[in-house]
This record gives sequence, structure tokens and C-alpha cells, in this order.
Amino acid sequence: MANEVNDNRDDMAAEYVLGTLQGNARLQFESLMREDADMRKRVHDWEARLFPLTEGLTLAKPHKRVWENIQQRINPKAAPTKGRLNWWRAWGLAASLMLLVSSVYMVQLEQPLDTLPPTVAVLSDTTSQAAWVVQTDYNKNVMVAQALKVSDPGKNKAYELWMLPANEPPKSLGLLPLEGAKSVNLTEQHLAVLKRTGAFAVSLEPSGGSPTGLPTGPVLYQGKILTI
Amino acid sequence: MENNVSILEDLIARTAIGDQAAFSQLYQQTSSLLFAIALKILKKTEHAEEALQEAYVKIWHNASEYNSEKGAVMTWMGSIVRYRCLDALRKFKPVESIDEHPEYIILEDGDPGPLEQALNAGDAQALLECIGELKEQQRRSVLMAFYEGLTHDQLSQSLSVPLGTVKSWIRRSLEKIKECLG
Repeated sequence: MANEVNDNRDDMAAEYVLGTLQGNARLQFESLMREDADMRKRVHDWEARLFPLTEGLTLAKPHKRVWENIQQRINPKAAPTKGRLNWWRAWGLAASLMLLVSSVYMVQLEQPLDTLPPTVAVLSDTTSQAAWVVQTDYNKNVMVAQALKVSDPGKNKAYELWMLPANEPPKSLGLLPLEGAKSVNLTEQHLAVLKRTGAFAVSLEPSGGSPTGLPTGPVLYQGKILTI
Repeated sequence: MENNVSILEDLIARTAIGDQAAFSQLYQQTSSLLFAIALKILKKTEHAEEALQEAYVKIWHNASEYNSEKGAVMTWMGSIVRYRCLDALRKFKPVESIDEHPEYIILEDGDPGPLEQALNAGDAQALLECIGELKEQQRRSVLMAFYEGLTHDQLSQSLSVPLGTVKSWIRRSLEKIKECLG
């Protein structure tokens, strides 16, 4: 009896994946699946069984308007011209900050040769509005995040900075200041990850930071790390 | 191949945290297969493009929900496209054949690309062998349902057999495939 029920459930999952489960039955199955982990697993198993059939298809490259439309949909605020202007404005700011930084470096003359060159990253939102400049100084193993124009994260919320190392999950560098500057002492672990990191991202998190060690809220700002 | 699989996993993980550059790469790596799936089901370029767009927007928003329990990245993404197409198919009148002047590029057979390498050739081989063990009519009904999204009714008309027969063919074929794949 129990086996029969299971067989039935498996038939339904299989026909859902194949596509022959249709109309109201399909809709009902989809709402059942949301509540029923066993059914979801059956569906994923059937997807894995049947999907290799797509290997028989002739690949077809879609027209470039498809990607343009997708970009519009996921990022509606990024009008290209406006974005470019803001980008340059952000870099203007970064450049003047870099001047400041280099004058500081001139004071500390003796840099060991084996350290990494200093870097700068401008963290901007999707409209290229810059919110922070993050600089790393590998002589002192310090990272400084300078708030430029940061929007209110909302009650009990904070902005958290993440390193995005290649082929690895993001790693936290702590919370970002809403105004002024904040320095973070870089540990050996930070440094090891930073060497493999090409960009930072900022996510919106609960006020104490992500409880899971991975971003839990939306990513609102990003920036590439550039060597000075 | 292993490497390509982990590239896609890396791209989806980055997409999950809102990395648009990673998402763009993910699109470049996967869109020619997903578009092929959509075209085969929906036939018309315009409809296939719309379904593809919807699917990628959904992938962008749901990337953080992806985990390996949901299968390989390609399978997860491809399934999103297929379900989107199946839903769309019910809205449009059936179309007999694909567009005569398609506005897309069919990739040459000799060019496997990173995407095809990411698919597991061994899995495909095993599946094809199992499907090969089905009787011809049953095999056709399963393949037409999978590739073109035909309903039981459409299969019954197209293969000129009663509805009940088609339903039991499909059910038994799927059971046999499962048994054969082990």
C-alpha cells in the first residue's frame, strides 16, 4: 500500500518534469511541492534523469536584444549615459583620495619590497553612485573604508562589506561606517583571501552583521579592486 | 568537464550575491542551450525569446536559492526555462514549424564550447540507452513530450492512438526509464 502511494507520487513528479501533467493538476502539484520536501526531491531527481536529453539539441545563440532586455529588467535604474557620468564622478573622487593617500605614503618612505601594492575600490550602487572608497595598505596591513554618501540602511540594519574571492564563497570584512572613516586591521587570513579577490560587494544585513557568515540580504553596492 | 561544472557553480554563487558581471558570464555560457530548449518547445523566435528573458530574470532573483541538492546548475537553470515554456505554450496556439527566417544563430556541430562540455556525456549516453530499450511508439511519445511539450491529447492525435493508451505509455515508459537508470 505504502509502495503504491510512493509509486503514484513518483509518477506525478515524473510527469510534472516531462510536462504531461497539465492544467489544474499542474498548478495543484506546484502548490503541493512548496509544502512537500519529499516531492521536491522526487522532482529534482527526475530533472536530473531527463535533462541529459537536451544534449541532443542544436545550440542556438539568442539575438543580443534578449540580454539587453534582461539587463533592463534586473537593473532598471541603470540608464547607460547617466551611469557613465556618475562613474567618472566617482573616479574623480577616488583620484583625489588617492592623492591624499600617496602624500601619506611619502611620509612613510621605507616600504618593504615584498608587500603587495596598495589598492583602492569605489563601492557604487547600480546607478554608479559612489557610497564608499575602500583602501588597503599592505605595509601596515590596514584597510580604511571612507563613507562618501551613504543612504540610511533603515532601522536595525547595517551595511556589511564582503570580499569576493575567485571560486570561493564571499568572506566578510565587517560592517561599513555610515559616515566618516573606519579602519580594519587585516589578519593573515584576510590577507590570504584578499590576494585572490578582485572585487568587493556590500549587502544589507541585520545591525550586528550577517548571522550566517554569508550575505543574507540584497547586494546593494559593488566595486572592483584596483592596484594603485 | 569537472572544471566547467565548477565554473558554473562559481558563477551562480556570485550571481546570488548580486554580481552582475558573473551573471553576464553565466548568460554567455548557458544561453545558447537554454534558447535551444525554448525554441524547440515554443517554435516561434519571439515567444522563445520572451520565455528566455523571463527565465533569466527568475534565475537572477532566485540564484541564492540554488544549492546542489537541486541538481547541477545547468539542470536547475534548464528546468526553469522548460517550465516557463510549458506554461507559455498553453497560452499560445500550437505552431506547426519553426520560423522560416530565424533571428538567431545556430551554432555549428563541430563547436562543442564550454557549455556542452559542462553537460555530462555519460549521463546522456546512459539515458539514451534506456530510452532505446522502449518500444518505438512509446519512445516517440516520451521524446515528443519532453522536447516539444506536447499534451496527452496532442500526443494521442499526433500518434493516432486513444488517449488512455498514450497516458499508460508515458507512465510505463517513465517507470522503465527510472528502473533502467537504477
